[in-house]
Amino acid sequence: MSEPDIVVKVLVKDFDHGRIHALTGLDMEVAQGEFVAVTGPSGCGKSTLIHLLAALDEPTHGTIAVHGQPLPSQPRQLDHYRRHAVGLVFQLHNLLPNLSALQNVEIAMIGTGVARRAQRKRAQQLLDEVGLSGRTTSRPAELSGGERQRVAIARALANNPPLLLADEPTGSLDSEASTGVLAFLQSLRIEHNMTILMVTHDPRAAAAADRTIRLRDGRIDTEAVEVLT
Amino acid sequence: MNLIDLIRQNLLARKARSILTGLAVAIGVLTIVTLGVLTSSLRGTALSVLRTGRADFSVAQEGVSDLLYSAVDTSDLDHVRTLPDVESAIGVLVAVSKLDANHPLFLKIGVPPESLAEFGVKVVDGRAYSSKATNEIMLGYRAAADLGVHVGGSITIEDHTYKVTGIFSTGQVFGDTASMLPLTTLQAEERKPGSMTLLFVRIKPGANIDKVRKQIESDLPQLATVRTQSDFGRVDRNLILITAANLGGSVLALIIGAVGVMNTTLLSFFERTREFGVLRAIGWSRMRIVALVIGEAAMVCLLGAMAGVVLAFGAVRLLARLPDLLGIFNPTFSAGVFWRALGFAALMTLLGAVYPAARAARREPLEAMRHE
Ligand SMILES: Nc1ncnc2c1ncn2[C@@H]1O[C@H](COP(=O)(O)OP(=O)(O)OP(=O)(O)O)[C@@H](O)[C@H]1O
Ligand SMILES: [Mg+2]
Repeated sequence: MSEPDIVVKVLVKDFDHGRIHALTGLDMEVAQGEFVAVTGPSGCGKSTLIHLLAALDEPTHGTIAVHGQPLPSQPRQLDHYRRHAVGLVFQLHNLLPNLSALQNVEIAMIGTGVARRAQRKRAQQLLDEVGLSGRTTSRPAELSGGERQRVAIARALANNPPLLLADEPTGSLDSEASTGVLAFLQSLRIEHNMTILMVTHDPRAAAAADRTIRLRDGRIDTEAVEVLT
Repeated sequence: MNLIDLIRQNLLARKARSILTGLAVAIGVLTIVTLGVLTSSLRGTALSVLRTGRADFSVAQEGVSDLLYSAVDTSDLDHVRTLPDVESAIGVLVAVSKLDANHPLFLKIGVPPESLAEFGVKVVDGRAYSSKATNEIMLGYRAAADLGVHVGGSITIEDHTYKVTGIFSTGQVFGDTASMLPLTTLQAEERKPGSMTLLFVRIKPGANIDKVRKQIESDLPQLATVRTQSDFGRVDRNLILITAANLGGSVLALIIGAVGVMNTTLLSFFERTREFGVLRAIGWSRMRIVALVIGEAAMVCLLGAMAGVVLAFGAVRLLARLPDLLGIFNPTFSAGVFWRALGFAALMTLLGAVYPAARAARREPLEAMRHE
């Protein structure tokens, strides 16, 4: 196994002034180029973990290091990290409703210095890869839930991040589409050596990953890990 | 896609709203530009009365509501003439009469014939009137052309019929659309013997204008000297009122435009909070969000301002045709008017969009994305 790409130590995240404990001392390591599935019951802290790794929120306690560095805290570094260090697929509300699928991918590249034509080409190619070459001009409202998630994946990859954080990317896909997306994620890992952290409820999706981390009540469910490995 | 493309796309996605906002801005700019052109043209017209005489400065009665009500006595003129630094001074009486519906404010200027040359009047056809003639008149060449009257013809102004002895030119549109007759004749007609509206003063070479003006104003405190547009308010209170009305109207129009922009921008801020959250989460900086929000408002303002200027152009044209304003309102569209319109549009953008933009940018991405 190569260098650990993500190192999380005793991560604690409280909400509501300490009344809600979303993460309760989570320890975790993910190797560079590893495809890891994160599962667990609803409310166990999966999305919270993704948000912390994406530097959208700050931990209450504990440390996170990604690509060998602690997460940045300066606004400029934060913007740069969010744009280039990670690609993010949310569980909900991913896309801008007034833009086409193609434009939704392009917005990630606005201001990065990539020329318009190159942006368009890149967006087209990514939509191709997630199987949406025929829907580039459709607006989110005209797409199915699964298609929207695939546009979101394409957008997350627009700036070639080394790490993809995906929250339920196959949540609303039928099994055929789901297989397609999973195969695509696997190909990213194989061809680009990307590190992928994917939250999922679906055991079959989890099976496509190299390893599954099970959360329970905001930390690793150790028994489950033993069972799976 | 770049920021401009995105801005355009967002505006097109809410076409009706963008158009209505642009309309609010257009109406604001229309008001501001029209008032501005109206005021500056009236000022210009008023000033050209003074410029008709080729003088270093003019003298009129201080504090009258309208320059035409100014009364300067012959004794005042005599006093001014005796001042050592004064080269020459002439006095003229200005009166307005209604010629016909198309010329509701036809100017009659009473000037002694021997002062015509000094006053900057060139007789281009025929001869000057004689000093005691009660029925002789000269027409400015523009007035003559407009009325179709030639030397030797006659013209009737409010029951008085005059014989046209000559056509003159002053080099000033205002003067060239007026008429001139002997000072004493006009004084008698107007029942203002010995009274004049304005004095035109020329000083000796090398003399200090301001010193001469000060001396006249201290010797003759009922009079004011006028050299620039800003002096003009002292002898024409109406102009001060018009200027104040222009300012007040412009500020109101600006507020209306800005409120329109603010309304739309706030609406979009509430509706699109989640969208801004997503953009922040995928690495857009706060400044880029601010640029997006302000850019959308600025684009609407710019288009609105352009429409406003076009509308104003039409409105001014219409105003210029109003019978009441014929002759005194000669609209002048300067480049300054367009810059002003642009400036006001920029101000509307700033007043209307900065606050919503700042709020949109301040939200943390997750908090914004949870927004319903
Ligand atoms: N901003 C917040 N304020 C208060 N509580 C929150 C907030 N975000 C998450 N929580 C709480 O933290 C816990 C973990 O939430 P999280 O969204 O991480 O769960 P999850 O594992 O992603 O669940 P699901 O599978 O349903 O998506 C939940 O109890 C949730 O209600
Ligand atoms: Mg979740």
